[in-house]
Amino acid sequence: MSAADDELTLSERAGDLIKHNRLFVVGLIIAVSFLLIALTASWIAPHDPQAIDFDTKLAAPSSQHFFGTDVLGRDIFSRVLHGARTSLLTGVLVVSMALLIGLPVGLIAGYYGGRVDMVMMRIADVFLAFPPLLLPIAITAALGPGLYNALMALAVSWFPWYARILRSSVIAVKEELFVKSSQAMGMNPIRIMLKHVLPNSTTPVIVQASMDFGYTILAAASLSFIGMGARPPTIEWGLMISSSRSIFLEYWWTAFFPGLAIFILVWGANLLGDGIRDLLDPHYKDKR
Amino acid sequence: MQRVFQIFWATGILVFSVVLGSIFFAPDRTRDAHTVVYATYGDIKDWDPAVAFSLEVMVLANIYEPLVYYDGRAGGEQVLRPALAKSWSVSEDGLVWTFHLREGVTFHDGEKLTAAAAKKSLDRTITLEKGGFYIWEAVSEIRAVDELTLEIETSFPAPVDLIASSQYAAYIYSPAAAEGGTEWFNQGNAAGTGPYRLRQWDRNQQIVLEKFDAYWGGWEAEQMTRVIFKIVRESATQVQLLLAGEADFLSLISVDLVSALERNPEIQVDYIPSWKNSQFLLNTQKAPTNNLNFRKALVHAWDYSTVANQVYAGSADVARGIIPKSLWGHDATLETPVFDLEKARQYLEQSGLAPDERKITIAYIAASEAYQSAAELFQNNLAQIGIEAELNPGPWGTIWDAAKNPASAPNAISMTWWPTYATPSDWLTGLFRTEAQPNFNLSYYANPAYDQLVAAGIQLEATNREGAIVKYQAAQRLLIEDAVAIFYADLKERVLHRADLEGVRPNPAYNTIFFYELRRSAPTL
Amino acid sequence: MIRTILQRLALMGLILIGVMTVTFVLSRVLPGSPVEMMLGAKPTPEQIAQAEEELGLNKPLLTQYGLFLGDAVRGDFGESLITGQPVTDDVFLRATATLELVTLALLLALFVGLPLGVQAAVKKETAVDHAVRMGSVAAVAVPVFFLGLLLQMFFAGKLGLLPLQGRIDSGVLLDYAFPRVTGSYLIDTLLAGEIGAFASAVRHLILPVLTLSLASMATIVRVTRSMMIEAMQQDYIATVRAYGVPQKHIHYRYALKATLIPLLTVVGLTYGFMLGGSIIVEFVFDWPGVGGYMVQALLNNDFPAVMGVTFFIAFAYLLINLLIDLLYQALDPRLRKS
Repeated sequence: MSAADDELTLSERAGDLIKHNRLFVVGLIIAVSFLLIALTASWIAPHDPQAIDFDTKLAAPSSQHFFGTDVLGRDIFSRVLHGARTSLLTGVLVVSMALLIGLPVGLIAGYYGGRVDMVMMRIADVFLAFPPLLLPIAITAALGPGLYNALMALAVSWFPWYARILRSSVIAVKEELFVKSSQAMGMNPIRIMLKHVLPNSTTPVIVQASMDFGYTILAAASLSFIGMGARPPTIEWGLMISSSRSIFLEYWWTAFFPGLAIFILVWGANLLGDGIRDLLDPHYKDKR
Repeated sequence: MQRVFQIFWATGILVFSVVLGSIFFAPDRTRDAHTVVYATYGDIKDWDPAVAFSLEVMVLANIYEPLVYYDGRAGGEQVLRPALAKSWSVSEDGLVWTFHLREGVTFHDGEKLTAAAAKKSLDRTITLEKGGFYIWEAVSEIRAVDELTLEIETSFPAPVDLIASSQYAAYIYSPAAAEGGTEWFNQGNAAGTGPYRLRQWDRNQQIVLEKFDAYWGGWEAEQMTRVIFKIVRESATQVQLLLAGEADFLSLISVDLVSALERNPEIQVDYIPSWKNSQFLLNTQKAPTNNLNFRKALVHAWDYSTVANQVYAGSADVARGIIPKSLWGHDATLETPVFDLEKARQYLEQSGLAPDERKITIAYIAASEAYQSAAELFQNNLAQIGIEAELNPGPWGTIWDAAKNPASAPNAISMTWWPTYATPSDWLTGLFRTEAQPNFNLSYYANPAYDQLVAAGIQLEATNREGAIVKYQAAQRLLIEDAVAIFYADLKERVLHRADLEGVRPNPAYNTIFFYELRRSAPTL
Repeated sequence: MIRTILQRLALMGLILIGVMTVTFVLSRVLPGSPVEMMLGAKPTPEQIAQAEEELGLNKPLLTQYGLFLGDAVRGDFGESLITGQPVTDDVFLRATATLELVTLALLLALFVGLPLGVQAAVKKETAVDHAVRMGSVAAVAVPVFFLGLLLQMFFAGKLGLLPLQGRIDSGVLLDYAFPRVTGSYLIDTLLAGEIGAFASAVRHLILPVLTLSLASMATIVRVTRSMMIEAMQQDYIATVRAYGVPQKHIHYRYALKATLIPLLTVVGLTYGFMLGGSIIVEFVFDWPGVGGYMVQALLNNDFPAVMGVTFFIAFAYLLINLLIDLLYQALDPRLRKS
């Protein structure tokens, strides 16, 4: 049953996905739209997102201000647009930093096995045993609040997952014939790891990472929400919701639109992630 | 397989019915008109009245009583009302105060109020050296002359009657409680003379007080018999409780919601004079704020009226100096800086600082929306004159710690101050007296001339109020000349409550509601 | 089997020590002296110095660590600097509140999520499947704060059917005494026979449980669906089908069973995750649980509380995963050999 789908190439699968999987297309559209928004925010935003104007403070949505204004009279629509940049950056940075740390750890642990593996995995276990937001909060508190510190803190809490996943794949790939023959030929182990093992074992990690993209945005927003993430003048959706927490009941637009933005982006990212997983999954054909 | 399905559906139906049942067969939720609910934002940590120095007074002020109550009118003559002492006098030399205690007063645990009991309370508070004990600095000895006469002797003339009205460190508690000590108190026990006794403390959830039948003030039918302090941490939830009638008072409100709530006929907003004021202290020893002209530029770049009227949405007045408008000693003629970016620019040029030196850090309490907005506005205005401001919000513990260390201290730090008892010297010494190791003098201000003026004022306070005021106001002028801080807001305290509660008479000296004075005007639903 | 259990327990202990050490180092590095927070409005420098002396904060780091470990082994985590109560008491109170919330949320997520996932798998590519998938992907994306506040505003504010916050009615707490046996209000009120109190506890659980369980419900739906689909494509299913076994039988008897075991792992992870991740729900509904306690402890650098809470959550998380692993091995004969 599984022999036939080796014949579908990646691009064929992608084309197939776009044609048949509507949800993937939706995710793609959303992701691309937000990317465009993030890139062009400075041009398409109708107002300066930092312009304070007390005369129009807390104004309801109108033709002048599509999403209304916040407590300092700033245009929320423009701020939401600019916030896209921050959120996309968050997802990309956290996931890449986590991969940057996690991949080498998982690779080395899986390849060398034995003592090295045990020590590294125990360390990973320690990190994984921490309550989810504890490490990010503690690290951010130690380094001082701020978006980049928060992102680093998140990446540090995340990498053990990737290390573990990669390690499992590496252990399997290590036994493959082409790896064994390279070893027999006396090839430099680092070369083997980088040239043969790594490229063939990254699929599960990539799948996980693509699904995590949405989640990291939520985590960063939660950190900002409790005051441990982005600070002004950074424009971040979680920070916007946090600042309007106490007046939300009366002035719903101050929290609703940033929240909606988070929702749509994370939803789109998740759909996209699901699609990428389907794309890279060796049993893809059977699941259609 | 069949069985699994059956179990599944059966469980589902059972749970569903339990849930539905609990919703619709709820016990009668109409509230007793004699119960009042106060939504507070934190649980009590220190039950010991000798130690309590924070939001506990909200509760403790209804359980315990001091010798004397402060009953001032805004800005005018201060009036002290008898509490546990029905009269008092001071000797010729101003060093011995005599208090005549009320008869027939009992503590909640049955002990009688005697001078010996009062002496025991105060002695313990002073020796424990916790909380606000230092208000009794001047006291050399306390004597119980007879059963109901208490003498307090001081080493230099001090306004002991005023000090005895403090909301911290001045409560009289039962001698048996004093024996039990802090441990006994912190298990959730109390024994005062006040109208309410502690009935229940459910950690992190609620505190319940109930009427003390033998209270010396007596009881009338319409008074409140039960007070429930509910711990509600989110401001939005507190507001919902208030609107639903499930809470009568709230403690956390965004300034921007007040006007909306005011329009609601079921809610009443009482404005009260308060002695709280806010300022941003400027670090006089850290570059570039160690440059006087640079500091002058900063104080002229602050938009005083916009902050007071817009950011604080009318719940603050523009401050004139450090002594608030509503307290004696306030100088209404004091010349203070105004918002003038041109002037600020001139001072900036005079400072002689290079463009890349024009950077400051501003620290403030992250949880305060007012600080946040004011700081962002300030950052904006500073940018217009070429000063870059980095904002560092954080929890108070963190920013205070950083500010006490010269290396990590910010150039400006937020501060809200109120006195332990009613005297201008509290601000003048607490915030600006020279400190070898900074405690609250986060401006790092060290001016001997200033210190002398304040010390002189304190010596005069008990016997020559006018003379003390002269000294205090001179000291204040020095603060303005040296631009040690941005004095920007005299805070107006608001109390929001259900409109059917009458008798709310807020008092700037006490951060509490005296529930004994409340009555309902109409029956609750 | 016994040997495996012992080995795993020893490993767990080692990991816990690792967690505690890292937390210790982190909290010492955290800025902000905890002492200042606990002394109230305007402590004097002398009071601060004295308190630090009393708490032993002036001793060298290694000594403090040693002292801490010594006490911790005997179950003494000291007193919280914020509440002044023994940390173990604080954590027990808080932990049981969170456990009640999280357990019910997980049960609800399973109860609703599992059947939905199965249906989606069985009716793959139909409208039902699409709707379920869309819904679950969307549910995971909703910011929790929003959901909680919206539910609060609607069911409590507008309809007035459910309470706004808290674990139980104030009046009930006062007038219906029930001893705290397990810490779970549902169980304790039933044990005490107080039906009114029980009903009140149920009412207060509804909104927080709904809010907390939504995201996990969605995850369980998705995981169940994909694992079920994978199971149904296994060779042995085709064989059984060839034998003419009815569809329903195949789905529920074979495919589902195969799915349940890996699902256990997800359940374990979700449970552990929710323990510390319930912070926002606890904030919105004033649920006196562990999440809020932890944030408060970190922000105030309440060192003993931080250590105590971390220990409890890490311990619970590791224990649950250990149990799940053992259950996994017990249920799946294929794994017993390895």
